[in-house]
This record gives sequence, C-alpha cells and structure tokens, in this order.
Amino acid sequence: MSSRPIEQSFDVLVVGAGHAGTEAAVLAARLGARVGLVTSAIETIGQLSCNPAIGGIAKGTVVREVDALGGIMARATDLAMVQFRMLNRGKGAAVWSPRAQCDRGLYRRAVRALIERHQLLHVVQGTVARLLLDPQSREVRGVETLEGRAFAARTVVITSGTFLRGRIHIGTETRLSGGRAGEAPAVHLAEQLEQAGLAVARFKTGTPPRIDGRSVDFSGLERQDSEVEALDYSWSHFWTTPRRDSAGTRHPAQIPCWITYLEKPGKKLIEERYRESAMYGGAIAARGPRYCPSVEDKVLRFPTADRHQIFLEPEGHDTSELYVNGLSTSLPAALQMEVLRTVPGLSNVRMTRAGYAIEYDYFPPTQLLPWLETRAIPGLFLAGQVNGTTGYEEAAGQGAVAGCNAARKVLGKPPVILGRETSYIGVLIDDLVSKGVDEPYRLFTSRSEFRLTVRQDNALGRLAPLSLEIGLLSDEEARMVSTRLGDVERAVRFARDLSVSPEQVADVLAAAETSPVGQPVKIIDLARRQRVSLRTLLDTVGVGQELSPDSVVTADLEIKYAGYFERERVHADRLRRMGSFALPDSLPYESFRSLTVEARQKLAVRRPSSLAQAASIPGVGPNDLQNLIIEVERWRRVAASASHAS
Amino acid sequence: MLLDNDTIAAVSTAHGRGAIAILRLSGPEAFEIARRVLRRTPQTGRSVVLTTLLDPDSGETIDRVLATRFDPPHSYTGEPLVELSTHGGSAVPAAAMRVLLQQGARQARPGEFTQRAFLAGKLDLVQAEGIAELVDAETEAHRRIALSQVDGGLSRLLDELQRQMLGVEALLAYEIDFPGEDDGPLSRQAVGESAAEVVRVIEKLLGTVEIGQIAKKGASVVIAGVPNAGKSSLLNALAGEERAIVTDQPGTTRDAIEVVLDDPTIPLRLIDTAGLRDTSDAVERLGIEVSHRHLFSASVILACGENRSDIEDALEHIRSTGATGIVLTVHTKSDLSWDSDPVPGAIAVSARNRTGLSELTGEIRRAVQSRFVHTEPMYPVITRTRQRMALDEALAEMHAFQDEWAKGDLPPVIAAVHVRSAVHALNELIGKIDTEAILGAVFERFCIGK
Repeated sequence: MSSRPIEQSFDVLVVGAGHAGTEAAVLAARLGARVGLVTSAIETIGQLSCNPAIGGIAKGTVVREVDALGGIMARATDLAMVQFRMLNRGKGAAVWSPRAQCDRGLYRRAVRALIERHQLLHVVQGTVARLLLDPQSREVRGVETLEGRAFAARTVVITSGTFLRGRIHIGTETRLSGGRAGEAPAVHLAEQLEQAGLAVARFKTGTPPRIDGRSVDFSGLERQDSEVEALDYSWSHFWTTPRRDSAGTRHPAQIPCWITYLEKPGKKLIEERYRESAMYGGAIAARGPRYCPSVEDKVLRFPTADRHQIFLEPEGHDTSELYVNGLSTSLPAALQMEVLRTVPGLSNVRMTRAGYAIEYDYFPPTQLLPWLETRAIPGLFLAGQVNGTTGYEEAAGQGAVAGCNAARKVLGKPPVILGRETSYIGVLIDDLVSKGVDEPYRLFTSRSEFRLTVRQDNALGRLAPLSLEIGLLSDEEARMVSTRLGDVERAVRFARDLSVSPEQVADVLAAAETSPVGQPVKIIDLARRQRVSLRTLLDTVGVGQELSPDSVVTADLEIKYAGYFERERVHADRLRRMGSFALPDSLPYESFRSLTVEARQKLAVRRPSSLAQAASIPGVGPNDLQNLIIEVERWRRVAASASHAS
Repeated sequence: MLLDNDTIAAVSTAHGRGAIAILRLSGPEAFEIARRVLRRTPQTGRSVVLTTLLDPDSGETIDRVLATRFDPPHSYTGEPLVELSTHGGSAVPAAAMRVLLQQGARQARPGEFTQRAFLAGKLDLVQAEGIAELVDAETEAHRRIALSQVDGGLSRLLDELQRQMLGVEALLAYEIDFPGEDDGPLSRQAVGESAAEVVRVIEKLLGTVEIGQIAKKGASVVIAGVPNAGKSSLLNALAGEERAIVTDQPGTTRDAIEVVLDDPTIPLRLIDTAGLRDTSDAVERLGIEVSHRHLFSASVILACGENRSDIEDALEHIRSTGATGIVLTVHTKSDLSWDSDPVPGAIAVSARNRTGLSELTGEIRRAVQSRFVHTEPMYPVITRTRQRMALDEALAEMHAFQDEWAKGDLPPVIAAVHVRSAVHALNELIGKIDTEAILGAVFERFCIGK
C-alpha cells in the first residue's frame, strides 16, 4: 500500500485518456461511479495519434455501437469531422461503412468537453508509477503517480496504449524512448505489472510522415470530396443542435482528401535501401500488423504491383499539414524525404514530421476474463492497445466494456459480456480472450459470422436495450431511443400499407435498371428488388420524412434479405445457447479423454468460460464440443456425488 | 462407452487356424499387466523380446510369445500398448486373453482400438471411418477403397477442397473487408472461376458415390426375360464360373435370387428375377413387382431369350419399367438354336456347354465401367452416407452461390452466405476453418491500401 496520504478516493480509476480510457471513464460515470481519469498530459486527451480518421469498414460499426452504449467517440466525431464518406455505397446498404476525417484540434476539444459534462468524472494530470495492491488479497486498492500523488480506487482500468516501455525508431540509428512522438513512456508501471504476474509481449506499429500542404502541387492529383455532409454519426442529442454556425457546433466546413501513388521510382528506392529501416535493419524484433503494413513491407511483398495508393489527409482547419496515409515507414528521415519526392505532386515537398515505428509492451489478452478484468489481479481491468489491438475504434469498444464492468464490480453487479451475435465489440473481445493475438488485432467485417445482422444502421437497436437495462442512458436519452427504435416498425408499416402507381415509380425503377410495373403495387413488393431503396419509394409518396435515416435503412434491409438474415438468427440462437452453457474454471480438461489431445491441451490453457468460447478456439472441433458437454455433465455428477458422500 | 479410460485387450487377428495370433493390450495399465504376465518385458519403445507368457496366479506357462512394446504417443492408440504374438489356433489365444483379463484388462469392444486412435488425434474422422469399412469390407474392391481412406487419400482430397473453398472465401472477404473506393474492385470473374473449380471437385467426388456403392455391394446386374428363358441356368453358370458369394434370400421363391461375383475393381451382384409376363395370378404378380423394382435400380440389365421374339418381349418389358441401366441382349441356350444370330449384337451363351460366359461377364464389366464418369485408378471414393450428404449439401450451396453471383444482383456479403454454408457442411466432415486462415489468405494475395 501507499506510504503517502490518499488525496482522493474513487470507485473507478482509469489510467490513460486516449480512446479506450475516455470511453471507460464516461461509461463508469454514467453508471454512477465516482471516476478518476489520470493522464500524463491533459492537453492530449482525445489525441488522434495516428491517422486523423474515425471509422471505416467494421470500425465504423463499432463507433456506432459505442455510441449506443452512451460513449463519446461518435459525438466527438460529429463535432470534428471535416470529411465524411459512407464507404461501400456501391455494394449495397448491408455493407455501408461510415468513415470520417477529423480535425485533430477540434476532436481533442470535443472529447474534453464531452468528458467534463459528467459531474462524477474528475481528470487528474499525472504519470502512474505503480498500482497499490492489497498485500493479502492482491486486489487493487489505488495508484500512486510519479509526482507523488496517491489515489484510492476500488477498481482500476489501465488503457496506456503504446506508452508501456514505448520505444520509437526512425531508421536503424535513431532510437528514442517514448509513448508517442514527443511524449515520455511509462516504464515503472510496466515493470510492476510484470512482477505482479501478468505476461508481457512486444508489438510494433508505425506511422507515416506528415508534410506541409503548401509545398504540394495538387494540380495533377485526384480529389476526394466529402460525400455526404448531412450524416450524423451519433444518434444522440446532437439532433437538436444546429450545424455549422459557430466554432462550437457540429460538422465544420468540409475539406477534401487527395489521392496519389507511390510509383516505380519510389518503389525502386525502397527496394534498394530497405535495410536502413528499423524493421529490416534488425532494430525491431517485435511483430507488426499485416494490414496497415509499412511501405517497406508493401514494396517487398508485392514486387509486381505497379504502384501503391497514397491518401493525403487534412490534419485540420487551422493548419495546412497533411497526413500521408499509406506511407507508414521506419526508414531514416533523410531517405523518407527522398521517397516522398518521387511521389507525383510531392516533388518539392517539405516534411514536417518524419514517420516512425514504435515498439511497445502489450499483455497477451488470453489472461483476461471476457469482461476485460485480469485473472491475476482482481479489480484490475485492461483495455485498448495494451491488449494487443490496433485502432482507435477497437480501443474505444474495449474501453466501454471495461469501464462499464469496472463500475458494475464496484456496484456489486454481475459483469456484462457482449456476445459475438450482438456486436463487433463482442467479436473483438471474444477473439481477444479466447484466441489471443499474434499480431496487432484489427477488426474486419469477415471476422464476424453475424455480419448481415450486425450492421452500422442497427447498432442502436442491438445495444440500446442493454444500455437501458443497466442504466447507461439518461431518461431523456431513453425517450429518444424508444422513438428511434419505433421508427423501424413505422417504416415497415408504411411499406406494407401504401401502394404506388406505375407513373410514380417509373423513374425510380428505371434508375435501378429493373422492370416497370403495370398497375399499382405495394411499396414492400418493390422494396424487395435489389437497388430499389425503401427511402426513395417512401419519398415518391411523400411519407416518412420524420423517420431516422438509419431506421429506414434497417427496414429496407430487413425487407430485402429476410431469408438470409433468418439463417444468421438461427445460428445466433444456437450460439446464445452455447454461451449459456457455462464451463467452470476448474474443469480437469486433461482427463477428458473423449476430446482430442489437441483440444484438451488448448482448453486447459485457455480455460473458456462458456461452450461458445470453447467453440471459437482453433483446434477444438465440433465433435470435441459434443463430447465436452457429456464430459462436463458427467464431471458434475461425479463432483456432486463426491461432495454428497463426504 | 466413449469416455472409458481403462486398459483393453483383444485378439486382433481373425479367428481360425492361422500360424500365429496377435493380441493387443492398450491403456494406462498395459505395461504393468505385461510385466506381470511375461517372464521378460521389452524395456523401451518399439523393442521386441521373445519370452514366456505365464498365468501369474498359477505359475502355468501359456505359450512362447513375441512381445512388442509401443510407448505413447508413438503407438496405434496413442496410449501405452503391448502386442503379443502367440501361436495361432483358438486355444492359445483364448488362454492368453483369459490371463490378460484376469490381470485387470477389459475385453475391447469392436473398433475400440481405432476409436482410441481417433481420440488421440492419430487419425481423422474420415480415416477412422475407413478403418471401420476395412473391417467390414466383404468385397475386394471395397477393401481397396477403404484402405485408401485409411491411408488418408480421401482426407487429403477433402483438405484440398477445403483449401479451395477458403480461396473463394478469401476473395469474398477481400470484397467484403475493403471498400471499392479505396482499393479498386475485385474481378467478378476471378470469384466465379474459383467457385466453379470448387464445384468441379465436389461433383467429381460425388461422381464416385456409385463406384463406392458398387464396390460395397457389387454392381446390380438384373437377369430379365420371359419365363423359361434360361435365366436361372445362366445365373448358376455365371456363379460357377467365378468366385461367388450366394446371399441368403428370405421369403418365397418369388423373391429375387442374388449372387455376388467378387472382383478387385467391379464386383457384380447378379439378380435373377421372376419371369416377365402379364398375369392375373396374385402371387406371381407380387414376384413381378419385385422384378420391376430391381430393374428400376439396376446398373446393367440382361435381356435374355432363346429366340428373337422372346428377347424383344423382354426388351419391351424392360422399357415399360422406366429402367435406366445399360441393357445387354443375351441369346440363351445357344447350343439349342439353329439361328446363330437371332438378334443382332446379342451375346450368345450356353449354360449347358459353358460357352460365352466369360465374354458376357467382360461385357457386363465394360458396361458398368462406362457408367463411371471418372476412371482414375487412385482417385478417392465416397462410401459413407455421411460423406455423401455433406458433399450434397455443400454442392447445393455452391450452386446457389454461382446462380446469385452470375445474376450479380445480390451484394457479395449476402451471396457469401452460401459459400459459408458450403464450408460449414464440409467442416462437419473434417474440422473447422478459422477466420484467421481466411484473413491470412487475403493478406497473402492483396496489397491493401488505406
């Protein structure tokens, strides 16, 4: 325990104020916990430390899931977005994915403002030096900072990102300690956690250089404009606030991205000199992600590709600085400059910041329980990049679950676990705790076996009932949610009840390249056709303007793909049943001889908490699961009769 | 019961007057039991000693035996295992078994050693099924197919099929995971082609189902013709010509009589049926109905007759049943006939003189073979209903996917449901695919942009 006087007592103390930490703090506060949010620099709360974009495939859905749980990421994005695109419009609404470019400064301001709305949430500046642990029970009791301040807490959520023993590399010669460019790493905390029994491993990730936009020749580059200005990421109270009339309102003026390419000369340069990079020069041994690979990786792995796409993304309104997305690198700074100048439009470019690779500690997430509490230290929760993930959205999703459960533990309530069939957050956490990671984990649509029914448009419908049940939303929010959720049914009812005349829909059908109709038909029959959107049909008869855009999309998809969705729902029901079949932590897997040897070994190590989790472990086959049920039932009977006898 | 963890023993060689018999002893107590019953025991894995088998209770010598020790996991069952080679016959192995059981071993149930091998991960399910088939095989052809399943031939092919399906899923995952805006669209054609390849493999495998059935039971060859066409004599003559297995047929003489002619590649199941004619006799009519059922499912039908009009009557009758088998015309009792060629192309046989019989079986086998789409000798063969049903389902889903993909209306994420379902069907056969594996395939092939 601390030798210093306790300055303040919290229920939940969150270490780190990035995307995981802020969501953890906000959700815990929403549940009524007294929350301390400790960050080493208050100015960097809500920092977008890599690319200035929120969302994308699968990730955009997570943003909306966090929003449905009462989190802040979608709300902050609405306040800070300078470009928005609904990706995959061409592939149908079932796979639409929202992605926004944000003004970094506006995003930070928005996050800080949203945090400070919660009276129970207190921000503290300080670098956490160590956890205070109960000498007997090893449970968490609080933290102590390098500055000599001590705080008591009943649960602690660590969301320290890449700061744990972070080490920055630029080329093979330059090596700096740091959690992000220009910020100090957290060394003491990492060492203490390792001593307390948490296994630690290393990953690496990287960022590209940034450039001065005034030195770019845009004349030959492809321009990518904001696609829709009217979208709201969040379902929440922003509805009632005006757009874009003063600095504080949502949706500032839009700024385009620019597309260019790394072509032959740049590729050749990297091919010749890649050994000077930190990764290939041997300075870094840790593993990096396959996706979001460094440009060195791309050039070496795809030697036959003619060119690699690069996006020049705006950093914000008050600067001309651009983020060179697609050129993540750990080459020496001078060589980065040479490579940049081979790129069309960048022949006279000035580099403001060099790209770098960063190596950091993470805690292999199989040490976690499915609500993100560590097995080794009761009351200690981990969320975000410390669990081996990458991406703001992945961090936010974990932060929301960890914060929620840290507060529920204090309140004496059972943990909340999101199933794979409920959300991408559920897929993410299930993958982490039951399969582990061997490279930084990123969400993809294809990771979810429920990708048809778990979508961005229905995030509120999927998760708001849970939010309401456990008290994450205010009364006013609860009223808004119930209105919005009723919209889906209202849209379907319009489609069932209303007919359209051949003349009314002639243009709509022609535009969708589908055959005209000869007599009045029900809207629902036309909405079943591909490429004919329910929204357009409702517009032709002038109804449904008051319905939320998301709910019309949801109704549309439910009408079009009912049969396919049904398949997934059957599968989801099965998984829910498997999820409710509990596997006690003490099962003697080694003695379950009806399981294959591989399955026995994997289960003994992973110790899944339900049959559903056991099913997601590679090497555990369908036959093993059937036999596991029999073994567990038999084990229960034997255990019961043994305790009876004694 | 599936979950037993005791030590089992059984005589592993067939009953009868062999020169030697082999007993297997497997389980946690195997080495301990061996130590008690053998004067000298092999000390290390895969070592062999020549020693004496004793009854430790009475001190009585049972036999001189060769004892081989297999240490886990390098044994057939993955457990401690001892093999004892005793002298053959029935008395010695029985006495040896008695001693092993007295010392705590349990009589193994049929297939239990193989079951343990499967549970220890020494065999996959398809291989384990192959062993069951091998034990049950009644024909030489069935034995050969079962053996190739045990060797893993079918497993390897199914693995390859699963890998190809994973390829289709990876292409679709790319399409689903990466926005067209950023990385450019995927060629629809590439997806279509890789799906077509998967369909070809499944169809080819399903094409072997009939071969499997024929190997197991023999190709059904129905001998048909008007009464007194010489069908029974022909059956008996053919049965005498080759090694025949006469099946006991319960019931009346109206039932069909079956004889199996064994053969390494194409065993034949000859079926003699009641004479074909219109009749008002109720009992006889029953017999004719049985004939019709056999005709309907026959691979080959012999239209028999001693003259042109009898053969034509038989052909007429066969046509009326809707039979789809290959029809061969057979001129019976050719020794009696003055007309050497009553029907052009008919095969002349004489049961009495035993002429034309080997020509006839040759023709029958050629006819059976012509029905197979594939004749690659080493290609694995589907023999189990479980295997066929899983492949049928996978094929139906792949066809549904191809239809939707060709139409191009459904978004890939929706059409992909069919491929997923096909993969699920195959998983039932051989174990799971992990999404990590699909993503791995994606990143191997594509350079992803933003």
